[in-house]
Order: sequence, then C-alpha cells, then structure tokens
Amino acid sequence: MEHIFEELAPHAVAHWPKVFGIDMSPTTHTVFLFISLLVSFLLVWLGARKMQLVPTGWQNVVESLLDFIRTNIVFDIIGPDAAAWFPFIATLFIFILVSNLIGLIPGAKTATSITSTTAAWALIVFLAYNFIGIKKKGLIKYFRSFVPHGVPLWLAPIMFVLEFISHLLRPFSLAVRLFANMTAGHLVIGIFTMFAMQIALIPLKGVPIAAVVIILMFELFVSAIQAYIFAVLAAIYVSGAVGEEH
Amino acid sequence: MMENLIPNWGQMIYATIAFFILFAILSKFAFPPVVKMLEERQAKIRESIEKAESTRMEAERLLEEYKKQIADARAEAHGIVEQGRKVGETMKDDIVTKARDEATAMIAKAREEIDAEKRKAMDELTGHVADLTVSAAGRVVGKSLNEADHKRLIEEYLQEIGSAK
Repeated sequence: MEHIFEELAPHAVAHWPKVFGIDMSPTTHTVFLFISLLVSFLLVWLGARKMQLVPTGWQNVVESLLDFIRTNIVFDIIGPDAAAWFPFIATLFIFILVSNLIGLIPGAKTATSITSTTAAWALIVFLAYNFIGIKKKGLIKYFRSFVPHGVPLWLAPIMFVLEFISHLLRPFSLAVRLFANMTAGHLVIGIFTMFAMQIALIPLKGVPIAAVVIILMFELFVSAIQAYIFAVLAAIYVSGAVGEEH
Repeated sequence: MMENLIPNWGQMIYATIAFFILFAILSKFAFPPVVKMLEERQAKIRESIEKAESTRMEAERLLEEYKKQIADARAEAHGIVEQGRKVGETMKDDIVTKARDEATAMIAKAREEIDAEKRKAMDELTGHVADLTVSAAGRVVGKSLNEADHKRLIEEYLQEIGSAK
C-alpha cells in the first residue's frame, strides 16, 4: 500500500534554488503539467490551424468540443453576451481534461492529482469571477448582491455571512473535488494492479486485471466529467458574479 | 501522500504559469480561427436557409404566375376559336345567301332572255305567216292586192284568230 502512495506522490526531478523562500524545484507532476500543456495546445491547434468551411478529420473533433464548451457551457450558463469568457472556460476544460487523461497512461502522472495544481486553478477562477463582479457592479453593490432581494432585514446579515463563507469555500471545493476524484481513481487502479501482480495463481489473475480494465474505462468517463464539472462551476460562478441580482 | 494533499507554493506557481501560458497561446492561435469558423458557418447556414426559403417562395410565385398565364392563354385560345367559328358561320351564311340571290337573279335574267327570244321568234313567225298567207291568198284569189290591203287583211285575220282562241 505504501508503494502505491509512493507511486502517486510527486518526486523532485531537479533541485533548484529557492526563490523568495519558495521551493521551485520541479517535480514529476510539474513535468506532466507542462506535458499536458503542450499536448492540450497541440490537440487544439492541430484542428484549428487550417480551418475549412466543410470540416474534415481532426477539425471535426476540435470544433465539436469547442462548440460544446461555447454553446452548452458559456452561452447557456453565463449568457449570450458571454463570448469573452469562452477562452477562459475552454482553457480550463481542455487543460483539466488533457491532464486527467494523460494521467491514465501507465507511468504518467496526473497533474490534477495534487492539490497544488487544482488549488491554483480554483484560485484563478475565484479571483477572476470576483474581480469581474466587483468591476462590473462596484464593490458595495457586488457585496449587496450576496443577499437576495426580499430577504427580511433581520435575516440579511446572516444571509450575507453565509453567502460570504460559501464564496470562500468555492475554490476549496473546486480544488478538492478535482484532486480527490483523480487521486481516488488512480489509487483504485493502483490497488487492483498491485493485487494482480501479487496473486500467484494464474487463473485468478484475470479477475483483478479485468477489474483494472473496467475501472480504467470508468476513469476515462470520470476524467471528462470532472473537467466538465470544473468548467460548469466556473461558468456558474462567473454568471452569478456578472448576472443580475437574484 | 501528504505532498499530494497539501498544496505547496512552488507547484501552485507552476500550475498558474502553465494555465496562463495555455490560455494565452490558445487564445492567440487556436480559439479565434475556430470561433470565427463556427460563426461563419452559422451565418452561412442561416443565409443558405433564408436563400432557399426565398427561392422556394419565388418558385411558388412563378408557378402561380405560369399557371395563371396558361389559364389565360387557354381562355384566349378558346375565345379565338369561338370567334373564328362565328366568323366562319357568318361567312358561310353570307356566301350561301349571296349564291342563292345570284342564282335567283340568273334564273330571272334567263327567264327574261327566254321571254325576249320567244317574243322575237313569235314576231318573226308572225311576219312569215303573213307573207305566206298573202302569197297563198293572192294565188287563190288571182288578183293581187296592194300592200296596204294585204296588211289590213292579215291583221284582221290575226285578230280573228286571236279572238277565236
């Protein structure tokens, strides 16, 4: 069991000097983070570099994915005037999806299975939507929008505090949800793989191997679902921040 | 395992940098052409649909117009044929009437000519009979009468014959 935890944990691949007291040594997860970045860019760019009115091959895949994000997430949730938010939401979705999927390749690391990555991206979402909300409505009006219209005066302070806390918890929940899902999946795959390796009886070995295959397929699904959830929640938060008071 | 759970600043900075790099390059090189194409295609599809709709309406309008024109032409042709028939019938009637009149006139004229010829023949015959009679009477009587007596006698004879009839 220790072995699996060891396998999933990040390991420094180089020792770099500290910058302002922060350890900037890249780890295995850092390497796969940037591999995911490169793969994400290439996957989208390869489909987008020679756009044709009648799409063929990879352009179809990229267009379908981006159209899905644009229509079903950005426009449907934030609103029809939300075209400016498309690059942000799409980058989140694609980066998380590719990182999750790359982590399923044996030997690869999942950049999203450490909270450092998921917390950083959750914080970006948190700062972005609050910044835009305050910029659009003004600080006081923005905070006032935490309390819905029609709430009795005596209830308003309690509502405000609750809403304030819920806002603060948002990046936490975003980060932990993605991290926990990715880590749990890998943990289960690791356990069953270890199990398969430790069983001496050849006929029984098929059982954990079959289980690994099934879990792996399930993980493909979870990878996409988690990317979708992260993007959708980000869009909902943005929508709440820039939308009309409710 | 704790390294996974507890975020550390260095990795967070890397993740932030990575996010913004991807955001920047995708926004610069990948998203604009795709979005442009999606919008272009949407516009093109909408335009095609509208064009198809207007073409269909135009076609329907033309069809109606042609149908109307064909109906008009048919009615007109029918009118022309009807008029032709009437003209033909009128002409036929005219021709028949004219022919009948002409025939009647010809018959009348022929009758007149016959009467004239008849009268002429009668006059000639009367002359011959008078001459013959004079010569025959002269031979019978043995004496010749003068011309004026002859004439008078003949006239008297003829009148007698005429009244005897």
